[in-house]
Amino acid sequence: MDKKDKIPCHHCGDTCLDDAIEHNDMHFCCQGCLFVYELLNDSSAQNKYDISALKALSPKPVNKAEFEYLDFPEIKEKLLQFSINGKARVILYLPNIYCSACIWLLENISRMDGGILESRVNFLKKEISVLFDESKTSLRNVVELLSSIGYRPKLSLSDLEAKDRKDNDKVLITKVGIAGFCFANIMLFALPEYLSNGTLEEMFKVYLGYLSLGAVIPVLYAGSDYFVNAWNSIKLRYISIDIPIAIGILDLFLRTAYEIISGTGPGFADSLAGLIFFLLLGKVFQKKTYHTLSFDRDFKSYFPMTILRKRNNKEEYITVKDVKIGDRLLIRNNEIVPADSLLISETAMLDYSFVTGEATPVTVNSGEKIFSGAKQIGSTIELEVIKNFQQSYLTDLWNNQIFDKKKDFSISKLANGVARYFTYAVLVISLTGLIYWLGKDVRAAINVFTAILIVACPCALALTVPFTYGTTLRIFGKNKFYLKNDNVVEEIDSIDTVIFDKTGTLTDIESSDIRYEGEELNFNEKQLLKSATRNSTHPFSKMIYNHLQGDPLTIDHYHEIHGKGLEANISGTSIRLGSREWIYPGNNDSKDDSVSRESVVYFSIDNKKFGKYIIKSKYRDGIFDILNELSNSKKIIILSGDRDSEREFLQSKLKKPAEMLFEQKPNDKYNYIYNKIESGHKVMMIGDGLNDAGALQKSSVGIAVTDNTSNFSPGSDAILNSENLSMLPKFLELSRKSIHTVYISFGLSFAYNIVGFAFSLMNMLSPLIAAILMPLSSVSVVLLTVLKVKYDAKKIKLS
Amino acid sequence: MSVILILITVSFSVAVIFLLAFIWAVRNNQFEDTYTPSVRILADDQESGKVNSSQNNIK
Repeated sequence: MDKKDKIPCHHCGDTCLDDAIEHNDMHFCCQGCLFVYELLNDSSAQNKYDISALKALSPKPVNKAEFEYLDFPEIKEKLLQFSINGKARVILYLPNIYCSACIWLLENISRMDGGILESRVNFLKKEISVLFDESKTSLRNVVELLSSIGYRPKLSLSDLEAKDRKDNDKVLITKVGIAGFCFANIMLFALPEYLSNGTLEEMFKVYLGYLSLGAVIPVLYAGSDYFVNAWNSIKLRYISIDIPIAIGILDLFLRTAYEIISGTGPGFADSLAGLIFFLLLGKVFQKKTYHTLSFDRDFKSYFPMTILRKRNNKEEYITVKDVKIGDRLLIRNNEIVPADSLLISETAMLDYSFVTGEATPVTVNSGEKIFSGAKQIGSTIELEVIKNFQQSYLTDLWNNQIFDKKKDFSISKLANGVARYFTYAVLVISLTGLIYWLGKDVRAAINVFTAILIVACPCALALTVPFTYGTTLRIFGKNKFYLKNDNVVEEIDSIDTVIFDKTGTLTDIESSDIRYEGEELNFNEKQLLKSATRNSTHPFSKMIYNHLQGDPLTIDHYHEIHGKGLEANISGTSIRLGSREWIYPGNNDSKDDSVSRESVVYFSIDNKKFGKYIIKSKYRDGIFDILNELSNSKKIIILSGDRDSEREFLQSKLKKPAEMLFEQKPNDKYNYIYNKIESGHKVMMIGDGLNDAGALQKSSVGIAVTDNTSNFSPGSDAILNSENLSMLPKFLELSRKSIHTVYISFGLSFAYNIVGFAFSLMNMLSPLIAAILMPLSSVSVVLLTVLKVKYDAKKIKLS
Repeated sequence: MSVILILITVSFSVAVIFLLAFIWAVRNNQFEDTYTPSVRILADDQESGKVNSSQNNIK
């Protein structure tokens, strides 16, 4: 966790998150607090919020053209709640609402724009509802005003979906209310019958009977969802769990109506009303539980990608989630563009294979739009972000079919298969029970039939996998280990071989030593080298770049050759950096001037050789402990593109002798993994995504280790931030425990169903109790899996 | 003793009125926001007239 997380806001005292605002060395959690603080400071005489002073505060300038589209009538129509007689209302989602000072500030924006009549904040939903006069101001003005005071609304046309969802909730609550009301009253009406030991007068029986029957009709309306869903699924020729429930409700109602009208009994009105009431209550409870479990306010598990941002001529690394509209980003060779942007540099060569699948690079000129997911090839480009970073979009691209790997076995497939046969089994068992009991006691037969239909719950099968793996993924994400999707957890557990790349993965570039040997370089030559290496994300290039002083120049032409090096052209001068064989071709003298544990980078400027850079790689802290721990259960292999010089050192550090191969070109790595997989092994490859793209794709689980780059290899299954590489054994263990959790939950659900069927068949379970047990079981299964995963994580010290 | 039937009818009808009131409240978004009003009252009321009158305009 960053230190910044613990700083309390100077005004309200809440903890500031990463995007805290700094002002005069004080930190504020949000814009509202900053404004209020300034107000209180400026008008120190009064000790209360002075609204009139709001006008004096200068808001942040807003890009004028950005919200131009809000003037279009079609867009306005979609976003406004209503627009009548010049008065319009809009509900906007403001993600920056944070504390009570925000509420105060936002509910007083009418002071800042005369056209705004009223504004009302819903704090929990982070929404503001603005009523404004269309003759004095416009939707665009409202949005621009909110942006300028730091509460930029998150606009999307999918806001329409949110409206539907809200209406659904209202309907459900109404139905629960009706069902509950009728249930309680029917229970009261049933009391005289129960308490009278059969001596109740006929008049009462008849009257109360019809009253109960009448009260049951609204309950049927409340349970209408089940009928609708069952009917829909029959139309689609598909058996869903709503069918048994609908049959159960129907048969209880028909039996009740028959008994009351013919006067043969009290009917099942109380059971029926209770059944529907508890089912609906279960639905509400489920919704709330699932919603809480899947909505995390401090959702920090973003892509652990970092990107280079240029601000006031200063370059800094930021995480990809901090990318904002208007930021100037520098994208180097092989890096991914994280959000839709405009190209500032003259031209760019983009590989859209991640987005469209087409590997042919596209040339883009200055001022044209670049879509997120594009990979830059060639020299560094500068671009300006025009759309917010959407992690979900990149994740969707990542999960595209093109990059999908074939999976043989998956627990989810098993669950789906069982679920399909489950409902058939339930219908068969219930009919069996009905037929058996019909001979003995008709009333009991109805009881048994309905109870079986209601108590059966396959929900666990459908819910276990997403909730267990979802929690696991979230815990991984908090630890900067971002998995592509649920299935990866299962694959991780099945691994028997782990392959590590050396440079950049086992070694830590930041702390390695670099020195130069050879002819003295003048300023110009150093500048050329710095300019060339600036465009490369290879660890060695970055080290050389950091080693040299001076300002880099823009280059005309740049390309990298895998396994050899890089070549750049600046105003006609050609610069090359790379391996010995490439810079000194044909020079095969056996004199090996590389010392153990050192790597050498040669270079030439206009074919003139000067000398070499010698890099002594430093291994990451604790990396050998991890390798040793892993070697207890998995086979460890090291593949490196580097020279053999480190072999002895590495062997000395490892407890068990491991297989090591050096001077591996990307193709060699790919072939090696291919062979391993063909011979039946399950391979996990850990590399830096740069030269290992093919290898990562081929392996069962490919983990791309990232540092200060946004090198993204879509063939990988997971991204791991280099600082958390040491947690790899813990990740493996949590994966294993999660799969256990899934099996346990399946077992529990199965046991529950068996016990439920047993009791129902013996006529020991009333439909009422069954109705309570059914949603209870699904909620308890979900809670169990989530809590167990969290508990396991805590024990492994991952959470 | 049969007066009890009339009593049951009347009290049930009264209860139904409350049910209808509940349905109206849910439809009218009364339960939409259960948190913000508690914070809102803490802010100082500078302009009393404006706030009260515009409340009625909001649906």
